[in-house]
Parts: sequence; C-alpha cells; structure tokens
Amino acid sequence: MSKRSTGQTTRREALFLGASAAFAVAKGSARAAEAKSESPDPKVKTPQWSLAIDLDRCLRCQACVVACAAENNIAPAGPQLSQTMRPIHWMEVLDPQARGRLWELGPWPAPVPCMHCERPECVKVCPVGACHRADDGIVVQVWDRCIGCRACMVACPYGRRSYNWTAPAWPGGDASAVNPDVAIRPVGVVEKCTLCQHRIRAVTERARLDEEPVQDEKILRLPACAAACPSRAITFGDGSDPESAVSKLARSARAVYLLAHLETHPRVFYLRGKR
Amino acid sequence: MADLGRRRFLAGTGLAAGLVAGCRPGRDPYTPEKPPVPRAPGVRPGTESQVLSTCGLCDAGCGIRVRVVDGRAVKVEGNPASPVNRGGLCARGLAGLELLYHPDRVRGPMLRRGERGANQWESITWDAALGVLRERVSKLQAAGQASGVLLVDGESRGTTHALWTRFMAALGSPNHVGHGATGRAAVAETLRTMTGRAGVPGYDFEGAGCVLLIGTGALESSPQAIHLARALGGTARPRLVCVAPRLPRAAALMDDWFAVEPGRASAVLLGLLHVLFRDHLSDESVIEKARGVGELRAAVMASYSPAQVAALVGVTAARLETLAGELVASRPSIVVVDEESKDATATGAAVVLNALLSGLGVPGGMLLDPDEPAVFSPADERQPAALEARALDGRARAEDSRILAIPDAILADKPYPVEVMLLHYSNPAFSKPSGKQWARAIAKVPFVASFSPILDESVAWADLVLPDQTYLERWDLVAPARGTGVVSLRQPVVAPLTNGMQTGEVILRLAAALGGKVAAALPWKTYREAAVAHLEALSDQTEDVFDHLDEKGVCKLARKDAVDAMDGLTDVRPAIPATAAATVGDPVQFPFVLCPFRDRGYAEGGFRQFPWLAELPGATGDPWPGYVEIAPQDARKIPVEDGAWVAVSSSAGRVELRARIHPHIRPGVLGLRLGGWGRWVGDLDGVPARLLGALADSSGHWLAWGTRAKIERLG
Amino acid sequence: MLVRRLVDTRFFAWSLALVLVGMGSCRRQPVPVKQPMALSHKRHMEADMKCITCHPGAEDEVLAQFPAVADCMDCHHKARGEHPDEPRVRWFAEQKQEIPWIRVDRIPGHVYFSHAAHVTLAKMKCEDCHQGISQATRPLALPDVHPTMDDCMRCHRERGASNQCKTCHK
Repeated sequence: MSKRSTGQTTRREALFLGASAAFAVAKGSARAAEAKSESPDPKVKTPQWSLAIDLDRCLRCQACVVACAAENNIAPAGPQLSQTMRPIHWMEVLDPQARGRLWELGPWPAPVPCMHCERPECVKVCPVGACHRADDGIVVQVWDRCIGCRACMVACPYGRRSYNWTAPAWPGGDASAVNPDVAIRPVGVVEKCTLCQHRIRAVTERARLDEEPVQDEKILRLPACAAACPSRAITFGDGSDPESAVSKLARSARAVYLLAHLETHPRVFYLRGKR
Repeated sequence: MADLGRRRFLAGTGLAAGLVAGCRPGRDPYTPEKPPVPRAPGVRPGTESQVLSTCGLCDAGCGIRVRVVDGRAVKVEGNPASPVNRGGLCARGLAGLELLYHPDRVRGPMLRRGERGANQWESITWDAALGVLRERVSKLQAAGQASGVLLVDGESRGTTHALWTRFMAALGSPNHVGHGATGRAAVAETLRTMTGRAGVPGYDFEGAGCVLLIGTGALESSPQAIHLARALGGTARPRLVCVAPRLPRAAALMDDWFAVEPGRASAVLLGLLHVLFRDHLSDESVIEKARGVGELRAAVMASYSPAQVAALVGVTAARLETLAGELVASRPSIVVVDEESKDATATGAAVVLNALLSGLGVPGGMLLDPDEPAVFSPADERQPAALEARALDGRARAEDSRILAIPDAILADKPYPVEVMLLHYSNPAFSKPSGKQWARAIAKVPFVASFSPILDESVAWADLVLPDQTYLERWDLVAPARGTGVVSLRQPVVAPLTNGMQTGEVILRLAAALGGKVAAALPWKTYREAAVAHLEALSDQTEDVFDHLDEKGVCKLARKDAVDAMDGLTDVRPAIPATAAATVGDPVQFPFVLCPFRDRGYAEGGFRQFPWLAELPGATGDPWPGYVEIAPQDARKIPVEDGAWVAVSSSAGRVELRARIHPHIRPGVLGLRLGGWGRWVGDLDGVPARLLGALADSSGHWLAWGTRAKIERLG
Repeated sequence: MLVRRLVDTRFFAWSLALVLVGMGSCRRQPVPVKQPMALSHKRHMEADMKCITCHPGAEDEVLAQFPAVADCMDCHHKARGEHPDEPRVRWFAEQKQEIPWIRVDRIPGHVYFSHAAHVTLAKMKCEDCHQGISQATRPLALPDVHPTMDDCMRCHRERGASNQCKTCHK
C-alpha cells in the first residue's frame, strides 16, 4: 500500500474502528434492552411457566428425547460426530453417575431439559444479548444474535446447552419432516430447550383471539416432551396460578430442585420418592 | 515488458475477483425466496391438517396423530382418543417420519440385474413384477410342487397376514413361517394349550397391586411397554419387581430386582408356586380341573422349595418367601411373560401364577383375546381344505412355525427343495440366530422376492422387489388386541412418496393372476374390501365403526367370542419343569452367558435405520456403536475398561464391540444389545445377532438366552 | 506505480468487465416470478369482494392462505369477464389441481408472523402492509411486503405491541 506517516493514519483508523464498534454495541444493546425491559400491560397477568417431571412415573424410555428432536428440528449427528461429541439433545436422559453433579436426581438417570432458571447464569455472561429471560419465565436463546462464543455453555451449571459444530444435515439431505414453526439453527450457534415456546405462543395467541383465558387442563401436556410421555411424567402449567396442576405439584413434599445450593431457582423441578 | 503484462493481468484479475467476491452476498441461511423445504407437489401452500392413523412399528397398535403441513408430514404424536396409548407415544413411534422420508426407500418394483448383492436393479412396472412372480409360482403349482414356495412372514396379525395365510393354503404350500418378535410363537402356543386361546396376552396393569416382570421386554421394546407406561400414568402405582439377568434404565422404577441367570426365571416362578401350594395361599380351584395338575404339584413340591431354588439360581430363600408374600398380599398380582421371556416352562408357570393370583380375563389380571380369524370364517366355503403336505419345519399346525429349523431344511433340501422364497417384513439373515446359515440358505434358493419398502439385506439378496408402502402411506384396519378391545384406523398421512404398493393389494392381484383355486379363495377386488370383510369376521357390530373411526381414529369393537372371565385353566402341563435346556457352547471355553436384548431403537425386518433412535444412549450411555454390557467385577477380572474395544466370540461367530460397564447386570452375563446401526451395509459380520446360537427349548422354539460366549480385549 | 497500472487500458477493461459480471450476478434483489395465470385484484375488489373471501386465514390464522380452486369455482363455474386466461380456472378445477400460485410474500424461516395477531388483535387493515394491492391488475411477481426488522420494531413500538425477541423469533 502507499506510504503513510505512522502516527496520523493509525489514529484515524483507530477512531473509525472505535466509532463503528461503539455504534454496533449501542445498537445491539439497545435492542437487547428493549427485549428485556418490556413493561407488561398491568391488566394482563403474565403466566409464569413451569415444568414438573415425576421421577416415579418416568420409565427413562427416552420418548421425550425423540419428541423434542422431532418437534424442534434437531438433526441427528450421525455416527462419526456421535463418537467425537454428544449429539445435540435439548432434552436428555442424563446419567448422574457419569456426570457426578446432578446429585438431587438420585442414583438413576433422569430426563433433564433446560432449567429455565429465574436467575440464569447463562444470561449473565452473554456478550451480545442473545440469551435473556422473557417476562413469562422462559430463558430465550435468539439464534440469530448468537455469535457462538459458548460462554453460556461454560456458565450453565446443568450443562444443558448444545453447540452446532456442523450445519444440520438430515439423512439423505431430505428435510421434508422439518417443523415450520421452529427455525433451523445454522452452524456456529448455541441452542437449548425453549419449553416449546412456539407451542406456548400459539396457545396464548389463540386464547387472545378467542377472548378466553388459557385453561390449565388444556396445557398440561403442551411441550412436545410432555405430550409424548407415555406415562404422563411431565406436567406443564402456570406456576403463578395456585390452582394449576403444576403449582400443586410444586407444593408437594416430593418436589426437588436441582443444584438448589446455587440458588438459580429453576422453573423446572422434579418429584422424587414414591408417590 | 511481457512479464509485466502477465503480472498486471494476474494482479488485476485477483483484484477484480476480490471485488466480485465482496460484492456477492454471503450464504444467507434465511433467504426468503427459498424455504428450506419444498412444498409437496400439487398442494396449496399454507394448508395444514392433523391426520389420525395407527403406528405400525410394532404390533401394539398405538393411535397416532400426524401433523401435515404443505403436504409434508412434520410431526407424529399419540392420538389422545386411543385407549392403547392415550396420547403418549414411544420413542420408536415418534421417529416414524425417519422411515417415511428415509433416503434408502425402494422407489418402485425392481428386478435384479447383475449378481445378487451387487445392488444393481432395473425398474419395472407393477404388471411386469407381478408377472414375474406369477410365472414362478404357477410353474411350481402346475408341477404339483407348491410346497416349494416358502413365505417368511414377520407379521402375525392383521388382514395382510390373514390374506397370506389364505393364499398359501389355497396355493397348497404349508410353508407360511412366522417369526414375529422372538419367542412370540412360544408364548402364543403355550397359552393356547393352557387356556384354549392363542395369541399374546395383555395385562390389566391399572388394576394390579404388584407386577412381576420376567425379562425386561415390557420395559424396553416389547409392545407391552406402552401398556405398562400408560398404567403408570394413572393414579395407582403397582409394586414393580423384575426377574432378569440385567436391568435397563427403567430400573429406576423397580422396587426389587432378582438378578438370575438367563433361562432361570422358571425356577423362581416354580419356587413361588411351591410357596403358594405349601401354605394354601390362593384359591386353587382355578387349576383343579386342568390336565397335569397332579404332576405339576408333585414336581413343584419335590424340587422347588425356596431352599432348592436358592441353590439353583443364587437368590436367598428368604427373598423368595418375601416375594411370594408380597404377591399374595397385593392381589390382584400379575406375572408378565411376554415375548422376551422365551422359555416355555417360565411361560407356563407364569400363566398358572396369574390364574392363582389375579385371574384370566378379569380386572387386574391377564387379558386374552379371541383368536384372530386367519381364514375369515370357519363356515366359509371358500376356505381351502386342510393341507396334507409336510411343512419344512416339521410342525403340525400353521401357527406353530419353528423358524429355527428352516435354514438347515433349505440347505439339506429336506423334505423337499425350496424354489421360491418370499420375505415379508422379515430379514432373517440380519435378525435371526444362525444368521450365516440363513445367508447361505437364501443364496441357495433359486428365486427370492422381498416386499420390504426400504433397502436392507432381504432386498439386497433378492431377485425381485415388490416394495410395500410404509404404514404412513397405506389404509388399513388394525385390531391391537392385548385386551384393548378396539379397532384402529390406519390411513395415508401424505400422498405415497414412492411407487410402492400395499402388500395386501399385491397378494390380491397375484391371486387373481394365478386364477383357479387361489383366485377363488381371495375374491376381494381391493384390499379395502378384504379388510372390511376381516372386520366383519371379528365382530358383529360394525355399523357405526366407520363413523367413529373418521372422528376419533379408534373405535370400541365388540368381538365375537369375546373372552370373559375364564373359570380356569384347561391344561397346566407346560408349567411342569422339563429338563433344563443345555446352553450352547462349552462352559470352559465360553465362561459367560449372553443375554440379548432389544432397546427401543430395534425393530424387526430391517427398520433399523432410524438415526434419532440410534443416537439414544442405551443403559450405559453409548449411542451408535454396538456395545456389550459387562458387570464391574467381570470387567476388573479380565481386565477391560469402560469403552474399550473387545471381541466377543461364541460357537456361532465373533463380533467386535465396545465394552460398557453396567451397574445392574449379573456377573457372568454379557448384555448383548441387538441391532445394527446405520444404513444397510450388506456385511453382517459385525451384527451382534451373529453371536446367537440356534438353541431350541423343550417347546422347539428359539431359546435366545442359551448361548455362551467369551470376551477378549482387543489391542 | 500502481496508479499507473490501474489506469492501463487493457488491465482496466478486464477488471471492469469482471466487476460488472460480479455485480450482475448479485442476488440481493428477489427475482420476479411468473405466476401460472393472470389475476386482477382490482377486478375482484370492484366486484365488491372482501379480502378474506379468498384469503380466509387473514383474520384468524397465522397464514392468510390462497384460495382453493374449489372456492374460485364458486363464482367461476361459469365464464366471468373476458380475460383470455379466465377459462383456465375451470381447467384446473377439472383436473382436480390447485392453481400453482407461487408465493412471493415469504417470511424468513426464523420469523413468526401471524396475520390473526395483526388483523384481529392489532386491528390493522390489509392495505396497511399490502399497499396498493386493491389496485393491482396483475398477480404479484415480486414481494409487495418486505419490511426490515427495524420496520417491524418501529411499528410495534408505535402501537405498544411487544418487542420481545420471542414474540417474533422462532
């Protein structure tokens, strides 16, 4: 390139780069702030979604795992990739002995989705605001904003976040069975359980259109995992409604929260011990 | 200057290329003009529907509801209206779309070009394909050698099965060999002897106080699993005890586990009977009038006291006494013997225990269904006369096929050579013991035809392929049995993706083409007609059935000859302990006993290519590669670390697998996960089933728990 | 030296040619499509039809939908107007084929847009977004609605609708 005097041009360049970066960050965080600081309509009470998993009904059959993969367009990893790292499973039946830390589950494996913590560690570390907590309690991961730094994966004490090391590939390249309600994540983003947020949105929108409240009996099995479970071990509902099934389960003596000492206050809890 | 000109040109091109590359937009995964998935042709965009149907990946017959968007099936879920699964669905059913959209689907009828196994095919029309098959079969028929037609049939119920039965009988061949899930034939036969009703039983888990599981089928891949799960989803929670060499992850729900050697479950059951007889703990009038009751009592009292059983199986006498007490105190109690238990004595003892502890056909007990009419109506004048020819496997009744005997019979041409082999939902070289023998037998048969809709070994080694449609593309009426008392609709959820034809339809067309007796025996013009006729043979009350089916997908069906509460057993001789079956293999050379099992991802007949299922970790957390489970003590002795590659050998073969230390397996036992993962390979040497020897128990059926093996570290 | 090279005629001509080719192959703009037959929204509006007659999902569903050919036949079972393409409606219906309209207003795969939420809950009119559609004499060859995320968020802000990420992102 042409000669330039060292001092001047670098300063100009530095100013230009600094201004662009500041602009980008400001724009990004403005959007993120907007997303977070919604003041909800005081007339409408926002439901606080919660999920209960009854370990005395769960046969560990992994129907929930496959239902989640089918609902959320999680492509199979294939034999090669499965050997080097675990295939992506938002809902996974984890072996507590192998992992050693989810000790509240007891000695047996159990299905573990994202905990949707009230005080999420992942949100604290996301540099771009891709991960934040919505007003209804769901910890949202915005795929398009994620830059793939994986800090959230390190931060999550439950280890329930997965990274797209490769672009999703369906067997034979046939993506016909893709669910149009869930975006396909590209390579390089972190993904995790959304509590089937698309299904929740459809139900709440329908309720607003019909001008009727959402009925607890109709949403007991709303997420794909809960709908598929052959022994009805998974229950979903509004934790802020004291009469909902999931609230009653939360008040049960059998209710237990994973890694309670970390005070993440998960919205997903377990029922342990014989019923 | 010439040099500078070239350099300039290259520099300029590089600069321009850089500009062009910078100008072009990067790959945008979200290009609005191109959605990730094309719409099915001819479908109006934005159309969405929920189609009710019935799963076909096992014979539980769970109702499903498939969401179809733009002509593509995007999600399979359970049908809440079905009493079988009540809206839930197992992992296999949920992965059904992987079969529908599998890249290895056979696109249409094919005729082999080149060598068998070379996978070179010529696409032909259905008329041509039927013509080829018709020619082969009618030649044999004309020569009076119709017995040379062998049909290996993986289905054991339903209208297609009934059509096959009728077809083969009218043709004059006794060789309609079933295999179904391993051990099904043993269970069905034993039940027929003891109760007069064949078929695999159901159980009223919802009403039971204690459930004793023999083997782990009802926790893993057996159709029974959905019934047990459904019961656990209710308010009651029965006590669950398992008698098996190993436990799957569902061990979390077991209240107790009796870790017995493979094949020893019968000893435990007879020990329980001993306690019941000794202390008069149950109402024995249900077995008083049965044949063999005196012998049974004598044998049980003499040799199966808790102390004697303790010596046999390594379970303490006290535990056995406690278990007997629990079963009695929690009545009604059920002993579950389904396809996985395989041992005729265990099945017999279990039926006697069920009769004593709960009852047959009563709440909380064993549920039996009326026989499925294989030939539609006993009084049907079109029913072919009884066959005189001897069957290849030497059995007397059509339902009692002994699949173990087939490969040797083919290879020895005894009692006569097999000229035509038809494989329907059957891939025996992959899934049956003596897989190598099967491969040799198939190679010997001059003409092999497969009906498989997906590429597998049965297709690879066939001469003619007449692909079925998958269960998501065809119409049928399904009666799930196991005491469910319903009929369930199966209908296409999408337009057929291939030029396949429902096998039931193929049978009817073949029969019409053959003419004569065969055409007369199958007079229905379409499969739908035949299925409706079958339904009318099952029940007298079919008027509103179709309305209900349209609305809910499932309908209660009042079966003819419904089995109400049974007064008692007719025959208890199957429960009398036979001499213990020897295991296959020298105990010194092969110190371990194999315990084969099938987890949720396994399915018979080649439907193994479900990546979602292959990636589910098994009890030991290992997806995809084949593995063998070993107890921690045994692993320390060899020594072998968790995850190390080992060679497992039996007298039947040698397979390389990963060793997995399993916390809940009896020492001396190796848990062998059956299956082969991934797309078909054609090389079956790595398939775990190769290790299994063809051992028959006293009933002549396959006793898969009898093969011994050894294990060696590799490398 | 480089400056002299850059304006060298041959060099410059080659580079310019390559750059123009590159720009020409740039696909940022959507490509106009050819719809299977003629359709005049204007003509249909003049016949006093409402948008939801043909696009029934607009008030209550996520997608507004295209009309099924059976619905077109409600009026077009006999000849209407003099356009030479008009008999093709009956041809499609006879063949039991849906008219293969090509959808040009497509939402990116990661965005959730519900017509019901905008038309019924937000009480918007069709022409608030589909500007000028009632005057269109030809079927759409290019998208007539193509907001950026900023456009969506601005309108949401103005009308007090939620701007949470999860409202629109799938």
